[in-house]
Amino acid sequence: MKRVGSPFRRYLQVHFLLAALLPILLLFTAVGVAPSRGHADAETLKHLRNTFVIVGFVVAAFIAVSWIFFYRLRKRLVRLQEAMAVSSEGSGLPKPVSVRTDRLDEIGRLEASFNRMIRQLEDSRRREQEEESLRRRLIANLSHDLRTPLTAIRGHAARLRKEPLSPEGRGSLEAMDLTITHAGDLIDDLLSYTLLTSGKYPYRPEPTDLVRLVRSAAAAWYPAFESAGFRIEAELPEESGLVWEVDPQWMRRVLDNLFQNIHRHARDGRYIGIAVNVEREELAIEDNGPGLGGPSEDRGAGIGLSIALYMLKEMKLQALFESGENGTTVRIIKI
Amino acid sequence: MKTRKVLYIEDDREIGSWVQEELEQRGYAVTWLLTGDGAEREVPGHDVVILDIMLPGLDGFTVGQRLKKAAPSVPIMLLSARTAVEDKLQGLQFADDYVTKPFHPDELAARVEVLLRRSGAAMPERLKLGQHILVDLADQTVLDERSGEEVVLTGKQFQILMYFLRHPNRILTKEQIYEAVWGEPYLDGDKALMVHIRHLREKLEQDPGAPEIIETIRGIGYRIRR
Repeated sequence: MKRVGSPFRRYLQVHFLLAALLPILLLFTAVGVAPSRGHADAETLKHLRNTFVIVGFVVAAFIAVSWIFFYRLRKRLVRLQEAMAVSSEGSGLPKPVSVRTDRLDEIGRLEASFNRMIRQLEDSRRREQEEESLRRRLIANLSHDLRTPLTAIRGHAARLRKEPLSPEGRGSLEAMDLTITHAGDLIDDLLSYTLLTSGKYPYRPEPTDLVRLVRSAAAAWYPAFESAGFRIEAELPEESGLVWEVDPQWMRRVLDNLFQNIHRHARDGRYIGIAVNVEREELAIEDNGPGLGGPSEDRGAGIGLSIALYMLKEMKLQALFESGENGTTVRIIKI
Repeated sequence: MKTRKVLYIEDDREIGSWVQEELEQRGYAVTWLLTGDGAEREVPGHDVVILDIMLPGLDGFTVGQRLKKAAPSVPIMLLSARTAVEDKLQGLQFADDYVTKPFHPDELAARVEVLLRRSGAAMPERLKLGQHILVDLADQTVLDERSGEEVVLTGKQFQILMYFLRHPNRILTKEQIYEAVWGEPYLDGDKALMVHIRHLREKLEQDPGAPEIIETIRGIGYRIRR
């Protein structure tokens, strides 16, 4: 890269010249004034005046050069600072700045380095997006490719169920059916978690009537809890008055995951309590199961709960768990 | 009741033969196609369509849109291993339901029933509620079998009853019923629905204080069992 004179160096040169010229100038002026002792006073005054004019001119020139230097320097630095601060549309990265090839001084080289860094970041971002897209496609395809054979297995199991079987055989078929359901849920959770953590799960917050949303979710889950022998208590006020700025789809997913956890892991307790406290701005879901650390026939990796917690955090909500041997209560509140 | 006809489009032979078998055992007449080719010609004679998305040739989205154009009144259920929200949203632009694999045969049959009920193809002509109420859907009349007299319902009461009958065994929230019957958003504090349900109970129930037909699920909603 061609290097041109540094503005600092030029500035220092000007300073050196002025610093060297000023004493010489003053010396010549003094010599010019001294022999004139016998001349008229007017001649001396003329010399002095000329001296002051010259010194004044040099000082003024020095100030002007300094001002121009700092003005141009500041202008270029501000331009670079603005370019660093403003991100271009979509990418979130600053736009490159234009660099004059005939001005590759320190600031010019800084601008070139900045542009190089932006290009590297853009490349890195593009590679990351490509990898993310590939990962999403892979998981979506994997999800599809796993679900299809699972359906076929369920079909065969359903056919077998219609054949005369021993009690052990029937038990195995039921276990197989349950495992297929859980495997399907796990695949779905894995896909959702991948989309969520990569920021690709559509999030559309809006003012949402919490009581109405909870009532609707409870109504959908009621038959499932009822057929599993749960006692269901819903303390949901007739009139709501509690509106949260959340994505209703996300909130519904959170509730579905929490209800599903209770339906699966807290069956022994046979109790679910759902309550919205408008004054405390709190949603509480309670069960009498063996607690979060308790044994369960089909405990998985807890990805469903991880999804719920992640979504709550994104919606600026918090889940507080109180869990013991006699049950679990989860309270959802605003952060 | 006449046999309900299902048009089923699925390219996977294992799944296809199983679903066909399950539905036929439940009394449906199933026409199973391996691709969407020719589905538009078949659809007019059917009551419901079950459609896979990943099909050879034209995909399920395209086939479904064409079927909807050919027979707008026939409900379509998408049955797919694709679970992404985008797929569901795209599918539900024309389809009436979206079921993901691996589905349970009972769930599939229940959802087919719901679609048929919504479209009116599965509603029996007469329904018995509780011990003494007979609803004649063809004549749109409600009869008290104890006295043999017709129970006169107002327009809104009949609409509410019909909404319950279209969603039997489901818990319906007050907001859901109100918005379906009145056709406008429910506003907090509106007692109109509760008043109508109270009057409906007075006309239908043996003891309105201990209702047997319209069940109250405390804090959640109402249900009619069938």
